[in-house]
Amino acid sequence: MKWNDLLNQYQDAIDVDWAPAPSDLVDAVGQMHRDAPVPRPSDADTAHSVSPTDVRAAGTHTQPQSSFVTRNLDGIDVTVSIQRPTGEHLSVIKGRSWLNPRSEEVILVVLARHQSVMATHEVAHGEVFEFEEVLLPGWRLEFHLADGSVAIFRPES
Amino acid sequence: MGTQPGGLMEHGTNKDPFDNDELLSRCIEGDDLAWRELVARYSNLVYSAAMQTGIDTDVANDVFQQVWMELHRSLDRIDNLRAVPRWLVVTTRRIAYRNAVVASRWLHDVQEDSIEPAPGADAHLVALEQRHELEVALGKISDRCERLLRMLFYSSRKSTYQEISDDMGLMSHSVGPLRTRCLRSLRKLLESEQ
Repeated sequence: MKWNDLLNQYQDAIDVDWAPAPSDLVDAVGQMHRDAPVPRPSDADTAHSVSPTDVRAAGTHTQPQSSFVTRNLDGIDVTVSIQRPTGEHLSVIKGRSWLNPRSEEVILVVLARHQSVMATHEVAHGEVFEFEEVLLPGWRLEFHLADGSVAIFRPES
Repeated sequence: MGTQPGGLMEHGTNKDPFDNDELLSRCIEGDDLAWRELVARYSNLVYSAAMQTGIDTDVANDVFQQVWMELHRSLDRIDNLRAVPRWLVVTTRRIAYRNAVVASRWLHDVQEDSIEPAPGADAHLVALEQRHELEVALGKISDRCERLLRMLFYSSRKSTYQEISDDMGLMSHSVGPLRTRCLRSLRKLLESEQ
């Protein structure tokens, strides 16, 4: 690779507006290491969740820009409503989860897509969780239980 | 004042405190030094991606921190370090877009359908990733080479050999050979990352 070849190959990169991050921000983020990452669901968890053991409320009740779904996943019942206000590109996901049998343990509700954990919310049995996010196809809700098992809610399944 | 583009690595020695294979796993294990290295390595990429969306500095600072929080939560799910730059840029765009929507602002450079473009389909994203590679490579070569190549790469006008030799305290006839050696080092580093 000659000098001019290198320049040509990287010309667009050289022209990019490159903005070095302020060092105080970098320092602050570098000290962020506090909570453990959210573990990835095992393959078994994923497989079980693709086919919910029971679908109640006659599946999905859909209105323009909103939907309401109730499902029984393994050991947990969930109700989720998804609202997408017209023109705002931001969806609101609200829901409740009930442990079956009932337990006092805390459930970690995770809004995830592909390799991203977009948001998390800890709830007790029957408590409401809510997320407001830009949702692209492929998003899912994961319900992480105290014993390490994970139930997954996919809006399209 | 920006951060070293090559992270915490030592200039001119081409030594990283962590190799790519272990950096993510060490972060997942809770190694603070590894996390700081990860942040240092990619902080300028994230900040540049944020500023590229057209948000102002205050919002960019918030977006920057939110991106790293999301990466921290997601560490267990990212398969390898090679996936991290694109993950960071896409996540930065999504969070910048989300913040703009919440604040009822309009971002002319970020539409919902541009948050996650197909690989290779977004010239801005590719250029940003390449610029990151270039900055990392420049951070790994010797200080003298880095200085010379930055003058050649980024100077608003092309510096003459005489200007470079004056600026760097070199004999003018040694600029050409030095440039060749520095370019060879840079090329090696860029190729090793591909």
